[in-house]
Amino acid sequence: MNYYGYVDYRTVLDNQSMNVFHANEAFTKGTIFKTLYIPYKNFLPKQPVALTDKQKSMLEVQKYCSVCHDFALYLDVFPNDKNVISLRNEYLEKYEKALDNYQSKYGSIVSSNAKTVPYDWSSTDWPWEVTK
Amino acid sequence: MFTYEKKLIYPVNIKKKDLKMASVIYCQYGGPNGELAAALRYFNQRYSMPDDRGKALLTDIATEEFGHIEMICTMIYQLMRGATVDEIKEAGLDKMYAQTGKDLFPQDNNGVPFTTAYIGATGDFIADLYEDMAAEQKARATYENLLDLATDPDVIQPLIYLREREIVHYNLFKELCEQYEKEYKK
Repeated sequence: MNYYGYVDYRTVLDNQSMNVFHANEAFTKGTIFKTLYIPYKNFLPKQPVALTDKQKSMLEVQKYCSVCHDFALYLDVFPNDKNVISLRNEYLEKYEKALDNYQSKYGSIVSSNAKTVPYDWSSTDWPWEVTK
Repeated sequence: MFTYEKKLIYPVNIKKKDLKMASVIYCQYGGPNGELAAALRYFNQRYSMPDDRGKALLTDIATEEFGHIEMICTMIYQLMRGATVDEIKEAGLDKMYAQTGKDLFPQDNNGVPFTTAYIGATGDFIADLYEDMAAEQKARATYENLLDLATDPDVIQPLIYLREREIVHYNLFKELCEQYEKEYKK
């Protein structure tokens, strides 16, 4: 490993169970790949805490979205990695479920979901406001 | 094309006003190593990547960087929400206020407006990828400087997340660059 966590990507997934975080930990730390996680000084990431069911539901969406995206970047460079594709497919299913669950309870995140009257995409929470 | 999703990449919920912190975080909005520069740099360079790997990676990382801009803007917005003119003066933001009021504006910590002079384009994908690696390292270092200055856990958590993403991007650019150097010898 070189300065600031340069790793040989071919070793990242040699042993899946050893080198990949579970989704919660991946979301907290900012990457699914264990070898790429390099903390700064004593700043240890803490898992985001949900105070309401709505926040909890949003965190699930963000978590799985984040994990799928991290795998997608890897697959851009290694498009033939079967293990990662199948692992990502599992997480994509979880992401879609989490998104459906949030939108059915709390309204639209994506405008293609907004099919009822009144049009709810514009009235759901704006991301920069503190969510309740 | 782009479709907007009404969610942040990672949650930002800052309850405590802190104008000083807002003013230093500005560097990651419109500064030379900031998220806006990153997004535009990769979005612009992707057209000259030699094959699918580069086109895909620069497109996807650029898109993520647009999400980071949104996180940084959210942090600034929440840190400044409800600030009075006296508080703005006290925090030394009076010059900024005179020009832009309470609006956000893509500028650095000193009020220098964002400029595309911060991004490079050389017509050489290897040179471009080296620039991208350097950019990720500079952004990583900037996030560490910001962490040194931060005290509120609500501010620290998103900064930790954003810093880690710079490490991930750096490694992907480096991997791609090494593959290209082997495969596309002049």
